[in-house]
Amino acid sequence: MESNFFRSSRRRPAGLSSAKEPIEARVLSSFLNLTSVPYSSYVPSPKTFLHDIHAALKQLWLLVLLMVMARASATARLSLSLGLAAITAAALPRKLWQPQLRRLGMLGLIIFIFTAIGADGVPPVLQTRGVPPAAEGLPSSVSTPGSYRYVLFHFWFITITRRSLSLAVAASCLTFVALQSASLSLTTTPAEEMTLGLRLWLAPLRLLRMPVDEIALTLLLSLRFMALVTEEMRNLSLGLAARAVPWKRLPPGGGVQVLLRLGGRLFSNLMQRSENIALAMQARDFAGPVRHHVHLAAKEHVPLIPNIMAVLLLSAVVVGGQQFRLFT
Amino acid sequence: MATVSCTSGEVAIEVTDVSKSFGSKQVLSNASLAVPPGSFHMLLGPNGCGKSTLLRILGGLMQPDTGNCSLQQPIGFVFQNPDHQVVMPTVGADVAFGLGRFSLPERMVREHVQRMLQAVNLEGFIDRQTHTLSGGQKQRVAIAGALAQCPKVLLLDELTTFLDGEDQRGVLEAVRRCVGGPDQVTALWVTHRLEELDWADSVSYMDRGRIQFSGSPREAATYLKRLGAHV
Repeated sequence: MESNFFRSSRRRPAGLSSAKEPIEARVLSSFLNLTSVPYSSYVPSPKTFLHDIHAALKQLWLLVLLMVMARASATARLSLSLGLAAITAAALPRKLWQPQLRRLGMLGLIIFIFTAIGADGVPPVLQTRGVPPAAEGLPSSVSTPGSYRYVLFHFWFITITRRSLSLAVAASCLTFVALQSASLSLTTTPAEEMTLGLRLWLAPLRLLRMPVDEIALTLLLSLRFMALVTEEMRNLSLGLAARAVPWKRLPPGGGVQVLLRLGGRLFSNLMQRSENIALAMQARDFAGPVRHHVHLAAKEHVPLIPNIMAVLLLSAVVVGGQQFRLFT
Repeated sequence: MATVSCTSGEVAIEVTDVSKSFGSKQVLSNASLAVPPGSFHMLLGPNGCGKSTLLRILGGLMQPDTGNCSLQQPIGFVFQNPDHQVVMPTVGADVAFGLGRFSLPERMVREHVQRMLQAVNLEGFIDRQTHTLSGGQKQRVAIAGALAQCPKVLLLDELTTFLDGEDQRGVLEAVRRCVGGPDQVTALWVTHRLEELDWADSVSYMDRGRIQFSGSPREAATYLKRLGAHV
């Protein structure tokens, strides 16, 4: 659905009556439709079982999930992706999970299609396609037992093979799980707790003189400023929408040029903001991450049952996966 | 020779013949100002007259070319856009940010933060996410953050520029409540909104890089009317 502002401000130039918007206008519209809750920001209510799980445990889950996904079979990858989508739908309000899953699903689908078509279908340019001398004299085709076929589908330039299909499932599922699991953790955990969790895991590295506090503060500031990036993008898009750019009258490439200029402006505005923020931090006596102790309020009461359940479920995923040979 | 130093005398802020140029453009030209302790002093003037530059010099964020500045320490600085100042994801952590140079027990920090939030009329906001606040609420969080450092002087740079009438009133009330008191906190409020005059104890008008007038709000209103302003 379009935002009301965009709809009201969009004046169609006289003489143009096409029902379909140009792609540039649709890109702009998608920025304007970004939810008022910045992507991956903490959502305190409604409170779910995920809110009760300790941040350090969630981070462990993320790590294990990515490792498992990297080694899982195609079926296990698809099952884990669907499971994650189901947990997202159960844990978040509908107005949050629907656009999130729609966008990520679309991204996953694009990756799937391009990888499936491109992985084996596009011949490598630099590699010779001739038969190697060692293969001279061999029969033209090797018979395979049963119904096994390496090439699953072939039409014109589109060739989908077992390898390309497996690669497409791996790439799209890994992307989906990596982004969605991180987003789910962030929407159900305050940034301070995420920072404390990370600091806990990184604590042993202090012995090796690693700048643990600096890394933790960087994470905390990044989480805070993700909201600013969304806001800046919305503001710039609003400004452009209010000017009612006649996209269809622009010369070829003109629309892309306007959007690129918008991107450049976004970058420069963010740099300007960063400079102002650095100045404000200086005015607030910030003396660097080592000497400045950031007071973070940890959760006073950690409920035991959801955390024990989370540990048990994590063990079940790892052990069960090994048992049923879901991982290679 | 230019100096910015600490004072403990009868004047909270004293500026003497301060000048500052950016390239060939002179922004401050022999500006002088004196603000008594425990007062809410408003610095008025048109855009580009050098108000924010003077404030930044007082805040130690910039050096003057010539002249002397002395003010009571410590100081708290609040910027025009609260999105630049509110750096932490939750209200409590942000108000406590300025206390980072001290090693204090968490309970003491939390109690102190709660008191500061009470001072700006934001009780119960300690665990709120900062991105869920309105502009006026964010500005009050920024003020609470500055107050948490127990300043003697508050430097406030056009805090109400982006705010609607209700939020503007909320922020002015918050500052008014903090000024004076047993700690004799002094506020220097930079603005170009003439309707805010009524909240001040004293007013200065700045134009072309120097202080043209200082006096009570009533005297300032008369002066501004003479200049053609609708007060």
